[in-house]
Amino acid sequence: MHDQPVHTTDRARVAALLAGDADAFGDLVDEHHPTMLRVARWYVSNDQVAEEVTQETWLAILDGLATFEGRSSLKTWMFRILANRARTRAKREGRSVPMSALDGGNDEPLDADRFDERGFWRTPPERWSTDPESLTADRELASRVMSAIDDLPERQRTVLVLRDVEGWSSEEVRNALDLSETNQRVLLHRARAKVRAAIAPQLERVR
Amino acid sequence: MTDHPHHPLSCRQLTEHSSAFLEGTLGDEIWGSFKDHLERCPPCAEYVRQMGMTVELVRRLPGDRGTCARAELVDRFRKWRSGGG
Repeated sequence: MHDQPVHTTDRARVAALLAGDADAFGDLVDEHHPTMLRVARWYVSNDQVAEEVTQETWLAILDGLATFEGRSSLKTWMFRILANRARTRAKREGRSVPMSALDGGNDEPLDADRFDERGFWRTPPERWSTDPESLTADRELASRVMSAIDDLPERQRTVLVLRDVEGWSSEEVRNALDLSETNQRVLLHRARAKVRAAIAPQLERVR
Repeated sequence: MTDHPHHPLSCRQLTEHSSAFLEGTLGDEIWGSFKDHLERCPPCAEYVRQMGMTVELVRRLPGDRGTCARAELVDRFRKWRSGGG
């Protein structure tokens, strides 16, 4: 899912869709639908509304396909349509302030008790003795990382998944989620720091 | 290099900037202090290393793919086609 040489690929895909290639459409759905639900859910109040907005968005995408000019990637274009629809729906629901503006950046300070009053380590991190290569092959660890992500506050989780799992750029995330650069950075950092803290006990024991 | 004098960073401040450091988006005004601190402080160096490993682990996870929505949406796609768009 990291950026490919988009424009050629995208135009070929759009051409296939316009020609009625149902498999091409199915693949596009498999690739983007779950992430679209995640992004829609950022704006609206529950999963069911997110599902409705996403379904409507697919139809809007189909209706707009002929006007896709490839000036942005297909993905960026699709998520712009989604965000617009989700925003409109959120407004109609009376949820006019995106939650993104509110939470995640101001929760409790990270690891507060690990530092003294001057901000120096009181409890320094214990060394992780394993090397990165063996870590990434560790399935149990991967499942711990996944549950750490599941436990994150929702806003932090959304930003982390889009940036680090889906490989979106900071700009793509800011556009899809209506986030300022600062908020994006703070949410991402907090999410990563929490995942680090969640897996640390296991890695400190590995010797 | 930066023209800014290096205001010392605390360990706590360093950890708060570690994510930006790893992304290469740390601001010029803080880069020098960050590097100075990192070179002299093994616990902070370890923290930054762990953050890097954490990000790497997250990046290796499989993304959200596939969905039960496929069949239903493909059906709508066919209807959209036959409706002439």
